[in-house]
Amino acid sequence: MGKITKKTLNKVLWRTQTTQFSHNYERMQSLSLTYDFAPVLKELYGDRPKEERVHAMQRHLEYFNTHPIAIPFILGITAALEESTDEDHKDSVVAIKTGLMGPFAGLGDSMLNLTWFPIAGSIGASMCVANGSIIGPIVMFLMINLLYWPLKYYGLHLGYEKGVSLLGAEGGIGGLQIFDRLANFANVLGVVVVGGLIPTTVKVATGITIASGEGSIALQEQLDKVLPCLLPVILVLICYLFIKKSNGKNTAWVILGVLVACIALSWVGILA
Amino acid sequence: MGILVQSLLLALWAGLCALDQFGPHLGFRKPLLASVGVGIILGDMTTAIIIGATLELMWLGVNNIGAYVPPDVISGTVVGASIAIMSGANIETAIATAVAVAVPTAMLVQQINMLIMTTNISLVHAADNVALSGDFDKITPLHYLGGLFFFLSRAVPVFIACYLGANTIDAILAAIPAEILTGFNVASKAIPAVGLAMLLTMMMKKNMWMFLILGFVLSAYMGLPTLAVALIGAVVAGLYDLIMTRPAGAAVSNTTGTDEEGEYDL
Repeated sequence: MGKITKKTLNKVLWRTQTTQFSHNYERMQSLSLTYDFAPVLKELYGDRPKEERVHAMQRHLEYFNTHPIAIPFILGITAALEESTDEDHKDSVVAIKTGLMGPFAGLGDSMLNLTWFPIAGSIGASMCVANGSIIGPIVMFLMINLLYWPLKYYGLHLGYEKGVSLLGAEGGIGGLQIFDRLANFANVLGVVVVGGLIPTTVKVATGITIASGEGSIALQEQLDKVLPCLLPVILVLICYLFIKKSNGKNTAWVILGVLVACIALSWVGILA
Repeated sequence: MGILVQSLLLALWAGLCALDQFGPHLGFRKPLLASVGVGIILGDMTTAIIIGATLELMWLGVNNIGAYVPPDVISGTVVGASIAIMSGANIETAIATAVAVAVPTAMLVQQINMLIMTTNISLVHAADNVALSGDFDKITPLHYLGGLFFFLSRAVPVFIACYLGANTIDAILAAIPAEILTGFNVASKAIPAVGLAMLLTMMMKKNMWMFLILGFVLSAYMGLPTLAVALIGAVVAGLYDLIMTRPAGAAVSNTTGTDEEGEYDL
């Protein structure tokens, strides 16, 4: 078997830009992944008997689901494995490939979806929510893509070049520790950012005034003396408890509930 | 441009944003970037971006985690911002209108998305059959067919909503009491709480409450911008990693006194 060319790998990179087009509830990304990986299979199996080509497609059509940005890296490693194993040991290719999807799904969700996207979105939005400046969307676009494209490009090529050796260093007990540590790192970073976003993105204020002697006291001013952003903190806590109680299944209803409550409370003058 | 052409272009844009969500992940599945296309098509970039930023903050925590399908913020943003701009209302009313339209639209298209995720199962079964031919290229059309379905799942509702909504929104806005529109405005600033709470339900593990307080204090009392909070967060995360990976015998004390935010010790 010949070495897989850089050109073929770049074809895979472009194909991964359509990953999840054929997303579905039964086998999630499997069909997409088989399509992404087809250039490598073609190069390796171009002159092989039909039976082997059928098996190659069948083993990649099995269930697969991970974070989309991790897919180029996983396919890079899979390409190296496909190249170096003979037809009797293809089980190990699938085993390693599916073994990678869990850790990378967790890592991608915690570092990218839960940390980087909210950071990029809140920084971009805070630059333009008042004046509609185009700078906001541009900054958000750059923050996302200056991180994502290197992850995709170097993920695929490094995954292929280092292949199993990378796995040898990271796949064992040491590798699991790396995943745990990165996930913990992202977790702490994410929680700090969310803590910082509560005062800047959640705006709840009361319009109640209390008559006292000759003048009147605005309740909000008194609340601010107790704790800045007291009402936003309480609102986040209430939402947290509701979502926690249902394991995140009723978020749409919590949004609707907050919407209705805000309309009702602002109508009677409690919120302003 | 007539409303028909505009609605078609908006539908095309929503479909392309959906393909970004299921494809390259350039970020156009998020309200702030999706709103830019609406601004170009309708020729009002400023209003579109203000609405996009408001919805971005509102839906900050709405994210695809694992197999969970969230409300579709793409169609919510495109329809909400478009109808708000087409109504020609002032900016406060436009934001309120956008929120009022965006929330139900996103929930409706969420249901359509789950339907497509189910019907796409037939594609992978067709691929099983095609695989028996041994021809690697034969699965390509099946793959792109899935993309077409996701495109249509956003484009069709957005077209219908924009085309019908543009003609009726003035009458609807005139019928809604001003108090309710003010309420939507208040709500758009409060709803980010749901998104942040959603992020927290997935993040609040052991010891995490102290980092939440740290972020809160940096922002609420010290007024640091988000990027500065994130950078300090990275430093603290690095230190936490060093402490947690220290060899055994160096146990870390994490019991501190309570303070005004003790309620977050969940």
